[in-house]
Amino acid sequence: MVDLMIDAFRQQLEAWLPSLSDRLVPVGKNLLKRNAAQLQTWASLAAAGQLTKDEVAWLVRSRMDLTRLTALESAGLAQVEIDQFRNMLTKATIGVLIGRLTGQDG
Amino acid sequence: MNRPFICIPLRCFRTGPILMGQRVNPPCFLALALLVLVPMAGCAPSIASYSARAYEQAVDLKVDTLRLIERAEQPYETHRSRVESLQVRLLKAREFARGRAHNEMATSQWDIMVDPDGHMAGGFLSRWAAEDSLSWAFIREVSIQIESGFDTIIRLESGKKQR
Repeated sequence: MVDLMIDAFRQQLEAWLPSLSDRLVPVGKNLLKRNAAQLQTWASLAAAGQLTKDEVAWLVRSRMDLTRLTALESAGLAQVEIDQFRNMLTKATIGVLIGRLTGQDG
Repeated sequence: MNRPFICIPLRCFRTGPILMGQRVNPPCFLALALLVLVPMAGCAPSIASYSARAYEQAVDLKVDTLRLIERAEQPYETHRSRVESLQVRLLKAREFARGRAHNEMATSQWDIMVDPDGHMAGGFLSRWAAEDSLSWAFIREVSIQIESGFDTIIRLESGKKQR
């Protein structure tokens, strides 16, 4: 099912954004593969009549929102790490400078 | 004046410090100090520090939202006041995030979570209002997404550094 989705995605991209198709297909492929299990579950529930097509579409969009939330979380946590690194570097620089000024470096 | 953090820079600016056994001219020291101080000025935190209030708010809203969502099989009118109250609390959490400096990532997360036209908590509550009641299978699957969505907000807040 994921392969069919990737083919559909590639066709859409080639029609709309042919210049970016080569670069965006791998991104879409990874995204779909990461969510493959969830998509299979929803497809099975739809086949069993427990979910409507509209509900499946809503859930897929919900999954995309979740992907955006996860990306924001990762970006935020990366900022925290960058701040920690900068603080460490600043402290080390000041330590060396003060040491030199006071003649207490070792 | 015995405090070295005040004494040493003052003396350095007046007579020049001794670096590697040689006295440096005051203008040279000024240039050196600027070289260090300018990058330091750029070292303001790029992300807000941890907020216990923001963390508690996110945890409370996660629990309350998931409990209310479980009832979406029932008619919307039965729970209208609870839904409206929850929507207000979600908006307050978004505004609290927006009001904090350097908090763009968390604010964007709340934007997604509360968006009535989106597909997280805000969008689900709008859909419940529009359709009056929803199927159990749909509720269960959406709950998993929304729970994970709140978890991303909670993890980002708890990952911030306490200052």
